[in-house]
Amino acid sequence: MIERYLYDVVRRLPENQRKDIEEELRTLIEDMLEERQEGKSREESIKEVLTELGDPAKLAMKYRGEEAHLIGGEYYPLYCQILKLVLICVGVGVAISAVVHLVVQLPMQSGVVDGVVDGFVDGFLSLASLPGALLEAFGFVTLVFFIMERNQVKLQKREPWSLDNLTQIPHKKAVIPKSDSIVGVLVGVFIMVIFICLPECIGAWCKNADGELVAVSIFNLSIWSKALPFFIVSMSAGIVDDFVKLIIGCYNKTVMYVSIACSLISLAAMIILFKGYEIFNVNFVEELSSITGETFSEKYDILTYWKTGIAGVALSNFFLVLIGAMILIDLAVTVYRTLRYGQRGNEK
Amino acid sequence: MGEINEILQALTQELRRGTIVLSVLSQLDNSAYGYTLVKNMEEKGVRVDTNTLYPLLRRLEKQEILVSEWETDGSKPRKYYKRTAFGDAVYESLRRQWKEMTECMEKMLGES
Repeated sequence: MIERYLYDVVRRLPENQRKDIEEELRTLIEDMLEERQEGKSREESIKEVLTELGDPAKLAMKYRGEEAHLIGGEYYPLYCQILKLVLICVGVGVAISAVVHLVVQLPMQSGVVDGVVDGFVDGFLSLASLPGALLEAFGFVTLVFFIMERNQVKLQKREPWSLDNLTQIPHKKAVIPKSDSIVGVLVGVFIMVIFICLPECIGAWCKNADGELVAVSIFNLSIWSKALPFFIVSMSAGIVDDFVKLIIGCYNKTVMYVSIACSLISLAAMIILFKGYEIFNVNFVEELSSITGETFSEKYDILTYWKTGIAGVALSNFFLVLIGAMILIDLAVTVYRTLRYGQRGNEK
Repeated sequence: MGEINEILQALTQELRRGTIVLSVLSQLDNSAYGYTLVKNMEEKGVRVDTNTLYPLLRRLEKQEILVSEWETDGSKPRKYYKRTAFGDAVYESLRRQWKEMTECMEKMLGES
């Protein structure tokens, strides 16, 4: 029993201290036994002594001293903050994808009942992955912080505090509303999920000859898998940008630099995406016609235009300019606010 | 009133915890064996749990306030601890602190 107790203590200790502590404790236990052996069986006294020494885990913890935590006080507040954000994002992301599955499955099936059933099954299957995804996110965040803790990574250069460098209360206009960033992250995740999982559903929905609803995608699905990485990079950069804004909460140099970097990456990826690939479905109108039996000659201008084939390029350019403008405007706002309000360091 | 007992117990424990190091250091002029130390201190009215003292001795050794030595003459190998020169200095300073503190405390407690 003594050996088992010792083993249970020592196995929780660093290798190089095990032998020493084991010896020390063994002698201690023997001495304690000697002292109170009178009138009792050895068995009984052993039980008594070991009970007095208490839980092996606790004893080992006392030996280990201050190392006995996963994430220490210095990192804990940040850990909680980040964990909360990550879990919310993952949770909402998976939930959205589940709902999207559900909604999109509905009209695709021939029978409504089938559609509903399949939709629900799919939706629930995605929902079922929620706990796993949350756990994974939790584990990953914890691991990162654990490594930071073990290596005592300094989060910021901590100068000894003085009254002069207390954190500035940010200018009212430099505060980034949390809701903005959260919406930004969520929308980004949402769009990404749809574009990754369901590109075929973005387009026109129409009834075919049998009266079934089918989708004609406006995207060129054949090159989709090649184009997708650029799209993901671009969206991710946007999400990272919003995420940083959410954490820091006000415009400052860090936010500005991250914003610039993310915007450039995002823009570059978009340019490659739109210029390098024929991402729109050139045969969109033909496919639509073949399904509906309608010809789009003059009735719908844009569709006629699409048919001419220039549309692919023109459309790409149009969207590229549109998205590029959005990215640049957003960046401009960030830079402007940072320079104008973000560094009013000396204001009272 | 189970609650007051609980609180009181926690507070007392906390109070005692602060004094353990000083009381242990005071007993280690000459090298002593851990368990004997527990017994001696108990005789003097200072109860220290063995499972607290042993890790504490080790920690103090790591901080170079104590040194240890295995004595293998007896039937069992025993580890003896005693203060280092550095430990002496630490002990002296702590002792002075303690005197000052107790004087102040006495004064304050005497007022009410």
